[in-house]
Amino acid sequence: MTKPPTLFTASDCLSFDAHLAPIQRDIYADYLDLDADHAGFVHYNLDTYIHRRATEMIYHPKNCLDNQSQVTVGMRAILIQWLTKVVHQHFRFHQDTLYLTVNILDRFLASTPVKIECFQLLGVTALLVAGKHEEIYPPEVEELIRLCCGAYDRAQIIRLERLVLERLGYTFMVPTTHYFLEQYSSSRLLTRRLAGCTKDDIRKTRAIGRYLAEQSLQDYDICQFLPSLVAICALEMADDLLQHVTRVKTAWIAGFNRDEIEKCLQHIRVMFSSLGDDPSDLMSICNAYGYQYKMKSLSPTSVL
Amino acid sequence: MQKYEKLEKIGEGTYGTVFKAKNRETCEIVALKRVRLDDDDEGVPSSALREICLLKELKHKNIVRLHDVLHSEKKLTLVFEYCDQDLKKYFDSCNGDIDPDVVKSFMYQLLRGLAFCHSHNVLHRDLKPQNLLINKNGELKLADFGLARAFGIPVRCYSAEVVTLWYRPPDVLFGAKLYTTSIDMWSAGCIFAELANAGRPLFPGSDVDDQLKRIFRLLGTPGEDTWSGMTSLPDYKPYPPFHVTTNWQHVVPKLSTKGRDLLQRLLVCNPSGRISAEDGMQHSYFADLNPAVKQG
Repeated sequence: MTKPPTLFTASDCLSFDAHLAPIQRDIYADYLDLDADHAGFVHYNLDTYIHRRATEMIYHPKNCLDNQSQVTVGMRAILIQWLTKVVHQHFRFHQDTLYLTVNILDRFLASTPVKIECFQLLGVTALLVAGKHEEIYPPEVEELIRLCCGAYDRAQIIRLERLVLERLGYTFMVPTTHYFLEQYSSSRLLTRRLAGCTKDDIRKTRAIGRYLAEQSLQDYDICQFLPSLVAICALEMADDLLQHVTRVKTAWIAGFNRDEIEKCLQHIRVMFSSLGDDPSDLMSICNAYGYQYKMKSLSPTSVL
Repeated sequence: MQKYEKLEKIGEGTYGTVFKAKNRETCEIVALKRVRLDDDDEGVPSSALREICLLKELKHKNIVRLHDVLHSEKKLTLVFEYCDQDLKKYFDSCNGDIDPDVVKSFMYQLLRGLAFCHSHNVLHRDLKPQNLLINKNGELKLADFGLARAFGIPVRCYSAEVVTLWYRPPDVLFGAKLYTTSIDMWSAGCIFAELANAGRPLFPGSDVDDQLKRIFRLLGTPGEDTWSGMTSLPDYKPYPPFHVTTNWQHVVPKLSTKGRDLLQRLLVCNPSGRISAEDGMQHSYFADLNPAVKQG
């Protein structure tokens, strides 16, 4: 194991506990025992994490509907629910593409009033931009028009794409809840021996966490919390649901206090109860959200 | 395009045409990369979108600076800092002889630019002399991020259609889609040898098969003992067990012993065995590097 990079160090962004850095660096020396899908890029893991943790609030749209006179919380939820299906079932895109799509949608809503007639147009345009950024094969405009049953034409999508790019200043390397959830899951896999947890338990927690985090995209209240906090809470909630007794403590890594966590966790509990999933049967979610690592399908097939 | 006066066409990028131009107000010389946007197109090309987005994050002296983006209905124009030439043209102009100190300086700057990309979780994925720009002050800058992308965890499958053949690592030649920063380190090794030989490419293969043979002839054919997982790569096929016959002194006669050591740490078939950009910068080959270059 070569030593971690020193170019971009914790001291460069002191907005969170810099003293944690040496602790984690030691932990990473043990990285070989990760899941195959978490073993890459270890060399740069910590620097990337510190950078993203320091920049997430810049790209986090708060109260994005404040200036909207027509778009409501309910409409936003319906659009994101539809986009979630489109991303998973229609395109089989990566989860990150969905998170980026919602980030683009919310940031644009925060900047520009949108008419109801154009709301779905904005949704597919956000997906187009996110897909171009994330996917090997981005969605085709023609396909997006079909998905909207021809309600919009090519020129409208391309014009709105330009507006979105300009309003958001071409900044799409945004830290998402998905990123943090995977990052914390990696940390959990690394530190599990200290806590006495099994790899199996941690993977189950990760799978349920992925599901909860994805569902939380539709919940306007939960989206007011920082992505890293939502990720922590999704994992805690998953541990609760799975009734795990021994747990890896993740909260300390992120530097949140208990009050913040409880507040966010409460919203996630409410959200979960409204989903109507049977808490005693979580295995189908586990399987759909990558409990067993599969080389071929890194993106989950939807359980919706 | 009133703000800039086009002076001459410089070349064609991965997407779009590149012009040398002058800012009418400030008289600053810039490079314009222009992408045509047609009505029946898919909007902004994904390569342009990624390049803009990545270069907005990567502000560093060894990475070409993106000054501005001009987006009109018919075209998209990226305004870059101007550099005099690329490394390929530089090779052509130096008639088979490069000062060893220049080789060292360029290599250090290449590694420093890469280290910055990698620590900001960006893979370049298309390093080659044409994509390294050189200015009058002997500064080297990574350019053309049209194939670059951000990486993260979990690792995911990326396109195997990356990196120009001559600079493509054996794992990607065998169809690996789960590659890491090591992909750029191999290309950096190939460029290092090319620098040391004043522009003679190290592995100028004609196709994938010829490319792998050239690599294995120099480094020996790897086996599962030195590279576990190799035989399960998607496009793996067995190659004859080439034994290393050439010594490195023949390959890069003008390079010092320490330089050869660094080169051998970059050109490792097993991707997990390749040295990282930061560690490369710490290599003893750079111990006597001109302090002005080191401080930049």
